[in-house]
Amino acid sequence: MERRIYFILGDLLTCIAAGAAGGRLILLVVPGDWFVLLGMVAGTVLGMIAGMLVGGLFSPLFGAMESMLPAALSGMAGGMVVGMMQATAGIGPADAAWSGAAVGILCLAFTYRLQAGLYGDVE
Amino acid sequence: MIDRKTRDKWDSAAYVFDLMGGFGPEKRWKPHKERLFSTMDGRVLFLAVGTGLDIRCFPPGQDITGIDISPKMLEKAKPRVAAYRGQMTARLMDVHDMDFADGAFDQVYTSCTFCSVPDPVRGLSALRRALKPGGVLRMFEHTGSRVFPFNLMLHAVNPLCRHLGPELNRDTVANVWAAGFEVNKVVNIFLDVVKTIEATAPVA
Repeated sequence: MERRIYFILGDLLTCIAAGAAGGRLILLVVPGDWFVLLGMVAGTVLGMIAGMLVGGLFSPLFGAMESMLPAALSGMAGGMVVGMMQATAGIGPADAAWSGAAVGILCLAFTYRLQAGLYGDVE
Repeated sequence: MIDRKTRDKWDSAAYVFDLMGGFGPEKRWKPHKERLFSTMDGRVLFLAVGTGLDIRCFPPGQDITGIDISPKMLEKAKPRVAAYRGQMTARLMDVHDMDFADGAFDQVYTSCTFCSVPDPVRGLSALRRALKPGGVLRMFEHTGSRVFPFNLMLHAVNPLCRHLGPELNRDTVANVWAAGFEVNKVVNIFLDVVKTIEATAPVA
């Protein structure tokens, strides 16, 4: 498990940025009257791309795979959630970014939990 | 014979390699690499040297032969090779076509290498030949994942990444088995993506 505060804060920053970027980007693409499933799929795909780009930007500072994968997950999930919200009731730009950022934090928690289970000797 | 396509790819990457990987990734992986490399002993082959970032993780006093396919990477590695407190040489060589005698090395180490070797099983077989029977291969590698959704992401982005540098979805543990090694130990470092692999060249 990562215990160095520099990397923990870096992971947090990366996932918040990736989730917010994914959420904000989807708002530009998904109109308010889309079919919900279509909004979610578009959000998932575009959010993942946005998350990967953000992860790539932060990776020289905080680690390669350790930045890219949680960031891609944050962008993907953030994009999916915001795409769904936009296609159902509509959502403002600030709320899209905040919602994406919140999803990013959850994605980081999921990744850390997964990491705790996978780290170490493989049977 | 050098694979020119691979050489050119890594020659291009040499200009930004330290910028991309020299701080965050290396700092993050340093404790794990130091632990892996602390087992160096005897005649050691290290693949691939790159710009020499890993050399700071090597224990002092070893006899290490490093190889790399990229002349530009090796040029950047020169000061780090020279600063190593032990015996180290770095040579331009393609792992598919190494000119070392059979069984020339006691140990082989790799670091984020077999994501990029064009024919990984052939490359690993060449390493097995260069190792003495019973010699040890120790690898620090990133591979594909079996965990959803990370497996999906790595497959999705791989077609782009393979043109810029490494492949992201390889099953390196299976490749080590396929090359005729006996895999003794696999340790996950980050998820099931970044890992260390220890394998032995079989005694004939």
